[in-house]
Amino acid sequence: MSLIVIDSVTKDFVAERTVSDRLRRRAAPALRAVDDVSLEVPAGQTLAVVGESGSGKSTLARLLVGLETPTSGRITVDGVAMSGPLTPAQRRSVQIVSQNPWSALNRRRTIGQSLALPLHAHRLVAGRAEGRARVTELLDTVGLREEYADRRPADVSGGELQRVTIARALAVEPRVLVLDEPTASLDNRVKAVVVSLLADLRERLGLTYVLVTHELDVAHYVADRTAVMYRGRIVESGAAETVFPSPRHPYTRMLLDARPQPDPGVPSGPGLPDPTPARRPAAGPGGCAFRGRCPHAMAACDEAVPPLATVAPGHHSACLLPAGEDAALASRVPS
Amino acid sequence: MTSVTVPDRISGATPAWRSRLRSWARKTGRPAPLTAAGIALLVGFTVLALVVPLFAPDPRATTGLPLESPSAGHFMGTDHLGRDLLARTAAGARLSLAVGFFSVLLGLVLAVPLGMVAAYRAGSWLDDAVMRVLETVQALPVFVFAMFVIGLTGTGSSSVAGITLSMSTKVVLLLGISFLPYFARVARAQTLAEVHEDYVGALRVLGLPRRRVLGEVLVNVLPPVLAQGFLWIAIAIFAESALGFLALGVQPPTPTLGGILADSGNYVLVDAWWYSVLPGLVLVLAVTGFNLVGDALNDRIDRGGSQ
Amino acid sequence: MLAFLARRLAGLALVMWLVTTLVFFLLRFSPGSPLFQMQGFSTSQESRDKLAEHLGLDDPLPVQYAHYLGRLLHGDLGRSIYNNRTVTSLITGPLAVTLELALVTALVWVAIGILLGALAAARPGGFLDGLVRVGSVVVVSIPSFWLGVVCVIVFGVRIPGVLPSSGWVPFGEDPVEHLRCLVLPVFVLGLGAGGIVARTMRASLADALRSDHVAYARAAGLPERTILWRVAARGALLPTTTVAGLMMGMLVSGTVLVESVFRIPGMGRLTVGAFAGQDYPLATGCSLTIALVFLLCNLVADLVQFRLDPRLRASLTRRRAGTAVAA
Ligand SMILES: Nc1ncnc2c1ncn2[C@@H]1O[C@H](COP(=O)(O)OP(=O)(O)OP(=O)(O)O)[C@@H](O)[C@H]1O
Ligand SMILES: [Mg+2]
Repeated sequence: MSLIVIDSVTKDFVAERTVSDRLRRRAAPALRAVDDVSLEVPAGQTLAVVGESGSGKSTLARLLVGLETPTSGRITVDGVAMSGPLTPAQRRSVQIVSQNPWSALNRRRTIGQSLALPLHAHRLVAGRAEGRARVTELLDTVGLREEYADRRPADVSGGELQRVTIARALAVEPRVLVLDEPTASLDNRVKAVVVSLLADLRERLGLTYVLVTHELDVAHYVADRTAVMYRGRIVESGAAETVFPSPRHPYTRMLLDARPQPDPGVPSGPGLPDPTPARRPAAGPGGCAFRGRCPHAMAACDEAVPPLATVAPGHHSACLLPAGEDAALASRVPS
Repeated sequence: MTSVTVPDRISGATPAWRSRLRSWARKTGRPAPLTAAGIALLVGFTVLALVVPLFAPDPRATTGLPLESPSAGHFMGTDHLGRDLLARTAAGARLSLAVGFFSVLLGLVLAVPLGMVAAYRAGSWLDDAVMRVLETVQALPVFVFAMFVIGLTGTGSSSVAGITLSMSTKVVLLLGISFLPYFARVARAQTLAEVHEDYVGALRVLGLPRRRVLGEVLVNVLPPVLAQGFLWIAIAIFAESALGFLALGVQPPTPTLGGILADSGNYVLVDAWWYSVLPGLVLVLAVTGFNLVGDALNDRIDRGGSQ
Repeated sequence: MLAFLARRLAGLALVMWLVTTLVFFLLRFSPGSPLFQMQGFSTSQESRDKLAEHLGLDDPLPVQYAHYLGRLLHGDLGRSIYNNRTVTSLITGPLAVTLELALVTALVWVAIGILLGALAAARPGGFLDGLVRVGSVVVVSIPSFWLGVVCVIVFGVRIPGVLPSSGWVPFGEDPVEHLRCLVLPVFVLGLGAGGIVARTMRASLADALRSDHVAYARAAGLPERTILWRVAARGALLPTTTVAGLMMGMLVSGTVLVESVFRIPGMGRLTVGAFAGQDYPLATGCSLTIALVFLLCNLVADLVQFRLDPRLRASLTRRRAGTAVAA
């Protein structure tokens, strides 16, 4: 059985009911951030969740570490439900690394203090000296020198700081790391360093990753499996080596086309038209959420939400487009 | 040779706190002229409040003729009963300083937890209830509160539930409670900004107990709140003297700055200018000092200093 | 806007009710004395009993409380224990005096503060800039009652006859003398507030002058004068008016000191006198009136801010935001 099992998870954010809502006996409008998502990640593998801004990736990440509770459905890690009460050992097993390292560390604490905090809270070290030694060891694991322990976040660069947040997550010896856009705030050169550090750590420590990102190149480099998210739903999932070269869902193709081209000579694709409106009602009219932007929308797309269908072994896509036509379209995509 | 080794040995023997202090001084640099002036005023006021009473004559004893103008014997002259004004002003300053400090402290001790709880439950009925109660306290001016308290308990010491409260304690309680809404709002706003930071979530995921997470938030909430509190010592000193002026504070014969100024008001017509001008100037300079230093502290924190 | 107003008014009513309750029970639990502590006034046991019955003091507490609230809702604050006049009729005159004093002070000093603050920001490092920077701190540190005493020394003793330093002449009696009476109290009461306004204006105008908005106007070749008064000042007025509105409430309670120095028959002196004479119906009426004025001033400040700040309007359409903190 897979280490991480996400079983039909839905998350609604309900706004506060105002007085006028109450007077009109109306429920407060809800926003469905994650919509009926099911995914599995076997131990030692990396799942990349990709999608544009607002598609619900961060919410999924927060659900995975138990910072949010699912409205319905269930998330288990090694058979333990993340939304329920957890023993300290279970609590430690899943950790999160978020996008903005400046916000993820307490700015008034030195890096050493931030790293020592979880060690002492879980009694993983006995005494100050051992704590200090373990902090040095953790810094070394992420490739930082001992001196960094005495600095404060304001005096450290973004890439180095992101390595510190990774070290802090590793302090409690987790099995799973949920990485929410770990490289989004870094420039390209630093990004490469952090990505290869992550890949290296996974091998050395036998970690399982859920990597949330909108950067397809990062996903491509690290992931074993990929899930593409659009407006809270998974529209395509499968092995990274099949999804990236031969995407099946029109949205995935759009994402791949919109990717910045490394070679300026090659013209880039049409890009993403019509950015997602920030708020939309949870109970909108049925049908495929993508149909408004889809170049291949058909009458059938208005009727029901297309289910995730198996298009190849281990490869699923939620699109009604016939397989043949789909393949013909796929051939157009420059790889 | 020796000139090199000797300083080395000295620096090796320097205790850690001294080198820390030195590096802190280097980092903070020289204060701006206005801040330096503020610090000087505060030092002067503190000396007046804490040191001068040790040398000055008894502030309640008649040591001269009524309304003597300033002289070598009485640096600030005497009041209408022939008491030394410097001694009375110094005693009043000491009371003001104590009341200012303790009322702000009391306000902070009550307000910070309240503000933090309200922020944690932002938008809930609890937050609403706390904010409404705070508005209620704010709506009644301090002097009205003071008159209720005096009307109910008198101007002397009174005992509530077996504890004897002197009038100065009552003034501290009164001021502390009336400052509470302002402090709680600052603490609430600060906490509200802080709980959205990612480190709060990260620490929860790391499995830290709730009280430890709150402690980590507190180290970020406290500095701006304390800086505000420092500024409010100025307001507290002002309020204490205003209550004294209205005869709603600590009562005669104990000297208070406000009481001295109220008495002096009766002698303006006989041209005893020093009686009201000199003690008043002490009050103005002290409040200016707290304002200048408080502003500097707030500026430093606004600029997002990590210290 | 209407929904916002309705919500704020509901909040105000709630807080007023809390204030009333607080005042009621503060009086009720005064140790060893019946309501409004009248025994000192009516000496015989018989008349005390009659008074207690008359005031409904023999009813159980919740009944008394309900009666009290019921009468209050009809605007009935009771009668003074001294002369049997209604509290409402005793309050109106002094309230008008205090409101006039506070309003004139606010208008005069907000205008002066905005002007000085803007001129200071227009030339950073100039003479006026330094004056506002230092002066605003010194000025807020001057206790109004002391400044009042100094004014009385100067105008009452040293140069008598220039300005009246004591008393009050109603407008109807002698308009010119009325205005002359206002000069010193307005100066003393508002000096510190003017310092705060000047300082806020200076700081927020300096911020506005550094904004992209102004850089754009400069690039477009607008004259510096237009930029200062038309472009930047508009952005800077928001924080300034907010501070000014909140100040108004403080001025009303601040008048008590100035009234006592200059012997002006306003709310502050009425309240102090009522408490001193243990005229608790009057004292309670005064307290509630002062609280109401304070809350209304805050409400107006919020409304002005709401009108001026589009961001606030957007965020408040769904969620309620905490009231701005001004210290
Ligand atoms: N606490 C919350 N309350 C209300 N709505 C929320 C909350 N958190 C997220 N949302 C909404 O849920 C939707 C999904 O947000 P989420 O942050 O998961 O997207 P994302 O894919 O991570 O986007 P980005 O790439 O910008 O980080 C958004 O519309 C967002 O506004
Ligand atoms: Mg996100």
